[in-house]
Amino acid sequence: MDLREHEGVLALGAKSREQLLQTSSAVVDGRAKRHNLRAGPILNIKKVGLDSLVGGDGESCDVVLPCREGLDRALPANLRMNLCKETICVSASSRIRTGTSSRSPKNEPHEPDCLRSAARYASSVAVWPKTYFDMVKAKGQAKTIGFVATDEPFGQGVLAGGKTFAPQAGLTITSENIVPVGTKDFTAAIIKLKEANPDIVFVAALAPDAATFVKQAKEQGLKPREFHVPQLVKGFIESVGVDSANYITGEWYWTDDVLYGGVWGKEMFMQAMAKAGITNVDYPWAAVHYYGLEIIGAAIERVGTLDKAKLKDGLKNLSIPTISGEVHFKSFGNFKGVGTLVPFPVQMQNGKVVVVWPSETKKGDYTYPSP
Amino acid sequence: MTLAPLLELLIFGILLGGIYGLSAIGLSLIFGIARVLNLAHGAFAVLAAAVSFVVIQATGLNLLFVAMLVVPLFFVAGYVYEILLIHRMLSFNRERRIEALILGTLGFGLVTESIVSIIIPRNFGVNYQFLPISFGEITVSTLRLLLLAVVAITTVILHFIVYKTWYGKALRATIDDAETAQLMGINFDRITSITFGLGTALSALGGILLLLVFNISPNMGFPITLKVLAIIILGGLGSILGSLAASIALGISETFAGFFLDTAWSNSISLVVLLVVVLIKSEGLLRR
Repeated sequence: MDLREHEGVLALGAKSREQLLQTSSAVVDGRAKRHNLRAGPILNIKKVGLDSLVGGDGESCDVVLPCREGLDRALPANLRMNLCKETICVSASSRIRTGTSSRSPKNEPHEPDCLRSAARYASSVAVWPKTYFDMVKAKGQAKTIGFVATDEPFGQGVLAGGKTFAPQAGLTITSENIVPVGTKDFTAAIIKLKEANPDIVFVAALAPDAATFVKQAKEQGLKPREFHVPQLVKGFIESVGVDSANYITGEWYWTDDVLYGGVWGKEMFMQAMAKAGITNVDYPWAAVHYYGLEIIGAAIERVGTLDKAKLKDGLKNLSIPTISGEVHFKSFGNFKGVGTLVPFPVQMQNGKVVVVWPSETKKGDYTYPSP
Repeated sequence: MTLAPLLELLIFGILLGGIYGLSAIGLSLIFGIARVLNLAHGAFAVLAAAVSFVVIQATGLNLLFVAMLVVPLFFVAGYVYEILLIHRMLSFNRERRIEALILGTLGFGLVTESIVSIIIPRNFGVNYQFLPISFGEITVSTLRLLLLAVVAITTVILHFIVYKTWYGKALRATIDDAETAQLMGINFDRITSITFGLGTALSALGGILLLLVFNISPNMGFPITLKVLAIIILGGLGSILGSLAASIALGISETFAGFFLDTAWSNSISLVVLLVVVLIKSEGLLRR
């Protein structure tokens, strides 16, 4: 995105804007060179702002991208947009549905088939557990794992990834339990897991169901050496209780400890989060959607066209710096053409969520088995 | 397979059934006396859980203390609900009455659930950590044992009220023959209102107990009503002990179905039971 031809940048200070220009250009060019990827021509997008006043239809926007007519159709449907004639408005406060679990509204005028979900391309649900299993493998103590997964796209996606990566980490799968979404009593699954007695119980479910399961598992005396839930977030921690959540591991998509600057600088994301009044532990998915937006913006600049097919092909050949790291697209075993962004394994330690992997990002040591 | 998991399934089934039991007894009494299928019954359980959750969050009070405040409050709510809504609809002519009662109680329940979802737009629950007890290879939840004790004590108190008090005698007489009871000087309207209050208070207590073991979702009121409906049909409408026995039978069925078939079956087994019992013996399996 060429900020050099901006007009009336409203909220970014000139100094930081210049820094942003230099940083993003240098990073993009450097990464493209390193990976031998082509850098496409830069589009002339006139304004990038952080000001609610420039949002279309009077609606508050956290990021506004005025652009050429038709660009909005190239953005993912599950990013909230005001389909203004000349602006795109993205609000960090919106409760955006993510990844493969999202469905576009029936009245969506243009379901963008080329970029149906930037988040999905950037980080497939199925490869999310990869770094967690890398960590388990590096620790080398756990030998067996049991899965509980909800019967919906998120749970099944994470389960598929878990079943792929667990054997690679040297784990034997001793139990697999599929439960309906919204299950209230997990007694049957818990008794099966007691019989299987795995070292790790991996709960492939969204936070509400995962919280109910963990709460009942602890109440009924299921004692694995570790519980793992993908969504170790505020809602889960409150439901389970801080003490019970201690030493449970999870996965986060971004923390402000992460060193990456992203396309526009992580400050823009942090400002949007602050403006929306949310913190990372409240709503970690905001980062996923934000880096989805970064990818889309960068892809349009580099590929230099709004043609959907060309954008789709071009996107897969690019390397893009995001707030959660550099993304390019590759295959993970059976998972073809998915992004390289994966969450950072975290662990609840003494009431705080701490990044425990990888070594360059971690703020605490991974504790296994749970005390 | 060893015997331990089977025994655990049996014990947890009994404990789960006990939790359903209170709501079931409440609906059974209401139906027994007024012949009204209160489709808002489960919504009262969710509302009571939500009120208790909000009070606990705001004040940090112990759940037991909160329950002692909330349950009487829901007795009053049920009493007023009967006077303002049910009583009016019972006065309609026969054709309009059935439609009005179905739509009125269902609508009230849905509105109540919507209000709960606005106040607490997510699942909610409370946490009290009790270490489970082990007997050899069998591990049992201390929390659920305590809940079963609460259910047992409540049932004993209820049994005393129904069989040893004037109100109980009037209640039983009205359930048996409402017209004769009125000729004997029993105020039918008043007994009905009190019974609605009692049934709603029992549903509220059931909801508060659920808060301890499940994470409550605001829209689970109607599913509770359906489950409780299956129980009271199995146990016989208007029968306290029948409802309790049927609750335990259903709890055991759910845990065994979840273990040997699939967890999805444990959620739907109550509806299967309801269908089978209605087809085979519509007055209830346990009704004498």
